[in-house]
Amino acid sequence: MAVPTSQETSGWIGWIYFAGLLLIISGVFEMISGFTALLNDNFYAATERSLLVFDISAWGWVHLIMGLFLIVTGTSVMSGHMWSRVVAVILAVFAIMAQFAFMAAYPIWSIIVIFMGIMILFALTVHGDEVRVASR
Amino acid sequence: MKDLRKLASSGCALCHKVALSAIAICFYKDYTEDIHNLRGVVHMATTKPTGWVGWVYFASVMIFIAGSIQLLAGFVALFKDDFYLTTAQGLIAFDYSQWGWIHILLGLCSMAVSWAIATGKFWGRLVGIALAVLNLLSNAAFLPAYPLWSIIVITVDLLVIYALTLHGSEAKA
Repeated sequence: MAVPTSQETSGWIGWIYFAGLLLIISGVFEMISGFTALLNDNFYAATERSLLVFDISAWGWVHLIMGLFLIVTGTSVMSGHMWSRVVAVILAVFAIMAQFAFMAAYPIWSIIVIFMGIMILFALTVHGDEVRVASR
Repeated sequence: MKDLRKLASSGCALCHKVALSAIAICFYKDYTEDIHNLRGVVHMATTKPTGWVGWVYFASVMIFIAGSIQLLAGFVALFKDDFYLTTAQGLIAFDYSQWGWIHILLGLCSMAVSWAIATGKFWGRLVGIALAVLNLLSNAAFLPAYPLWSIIVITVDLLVIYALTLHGSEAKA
């Protein structure tokens, strides 16, 4: 009785598609900000001085690669693999931290990605167990 | 004819009685099943780690994020304080290097306690709540330096406090 059947979880299984889609969306967002940093860096409000750790083209590459990883993980999360949930949690934490350091460049974009990251973490940690039950 | 009617009515009465007792038995059975289910639910809510135990992982990840952001803010305050929007006069209590050390200390403690929370330690939850409150207060005081950072850390800390106070007890098992 304590073990939920797949019928019981079906109402909540949508959380994983939610997380997967959000991962893909935030990955696309990351890639857009990465390409902008690489190709059109005077688009950003920040000068080189006001960025942390890297310069703007290095941040561009970081965001581009992070975005690719997020999109790949998003598609694999939707197929319900356990490892992809763990990877997705770690990636979402990294994406949040990267956007935090990069916030001076375009604050509103960063805030959007950070909140999507928090939603991803909520969906994956709080409702993650139901996915595993339903997918077996 | 009269006998027949009597027989019918008595038969009916018998039927009625049987039906009633059958219903009573059914209800009794349902009732006991209900009790059983209820007991199971109570048992599940207090001791069994259900799907909701995820709240604890959520709290642990959130306090880790809050801690790492604090760490970043601390290092920036120590090494690159012209990055911040205000001068030291705009801060409430300490100067930038003191704030830097406070943030680094709180950040490291938060990141460390996230492990204790994830493994379901009771003291981890208490220390986690205390650290989240301290983070929140320090960021409220540090707000003029970089308002957006502080607002996000405050939001994350509120989520930590919510998850640990309302859903914390599910983590014990």
